[in-house]
Amino acid sequence: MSFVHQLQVGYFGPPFDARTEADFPLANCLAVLREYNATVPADAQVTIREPVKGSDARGWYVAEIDAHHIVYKRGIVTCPYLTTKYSKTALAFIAWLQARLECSIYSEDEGRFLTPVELVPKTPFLDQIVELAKASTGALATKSSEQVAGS
Amino acid sequence: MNPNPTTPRMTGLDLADIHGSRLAELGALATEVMDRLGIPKSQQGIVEVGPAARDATGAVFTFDHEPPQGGRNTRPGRQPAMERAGRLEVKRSGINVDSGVLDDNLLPLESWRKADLATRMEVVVAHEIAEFHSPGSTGQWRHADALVQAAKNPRLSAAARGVLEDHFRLAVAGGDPTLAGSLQSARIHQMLQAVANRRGQ
Repeated sequence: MSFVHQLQVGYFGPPFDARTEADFPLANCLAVLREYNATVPADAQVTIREPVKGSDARGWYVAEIDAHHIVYKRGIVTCPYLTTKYSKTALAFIAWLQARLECSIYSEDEGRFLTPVELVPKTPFLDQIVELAKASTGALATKSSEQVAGS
Repeated sequence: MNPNPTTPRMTGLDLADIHGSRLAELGALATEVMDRLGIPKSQQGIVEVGPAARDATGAVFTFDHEPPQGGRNTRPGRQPAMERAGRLEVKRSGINVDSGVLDDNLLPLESWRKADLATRMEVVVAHEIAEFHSPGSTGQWRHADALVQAAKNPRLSAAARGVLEDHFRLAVAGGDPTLAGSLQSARIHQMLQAVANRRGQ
């Protein structure tokens, strides 16, 4: 968990995936990114880095989406999806990639693998913030009134 | 998220190339900031082992996150799938700061862009420790909780509190121009709706 929250999409190998990083090398990743861009309208596309930058050990910066970096490393693509709100562009890309590769989606936030259906937020992120802000304000109001009552 | 779309975002590799020689200095500053904000020494840095480990050294500042996220927080039990499979063990719970604080465009906020390094580290540490202590059962809930709670840390500098308040306002206002623009694509909505519709199956 962090400031910029990410999802991982790809082949995690046994016991999670029968397929491994060998089934999705860097060259295939770049080909799939180009295929994605050819499939979707301009404002849904990823910005592919040409040439890519990185290393097998640290990962390869292959593209950007909503001005955030997408990194490929060992058969897995790491893509940001949540900052101050969900990036629907990123979620659409991740859903497409999962369907195209028939691979897994892992959320470090949730500590588990997600189905494509779970990937789509049921409520706007703003609703969670507003709910928590109201609860926080209510707690402060209660605390304040308790202090007054106790004084 | 880039406030200036004509300015390419720096990668973690770029940041490591430029600032890598400052690792000790950045680590010392991160420690100073964590001490000032009252983070217990036992929660400064993360130690994980296993193939899914992302922070193995326990360092409070790292260039190892690709792409940079600002920082991380974790504790045992937060990633049960990986932990049960023997791919991850959290040896030390805590928080850290990463090279994202060196990126002027990590947050699309003028106050972030203008903030000095210590202030940016305060912002990240306040957010990470709020997520770390949040009782939420999901990561998204904890992130929302941190957006609400982080600015309330009484030890924050005025500058750091200002950035966190801007961050909260941005979330509430939906004032992210890049994302707002992307939402206009009917095709994106259709793609996500098609996935969501499978809930009924």
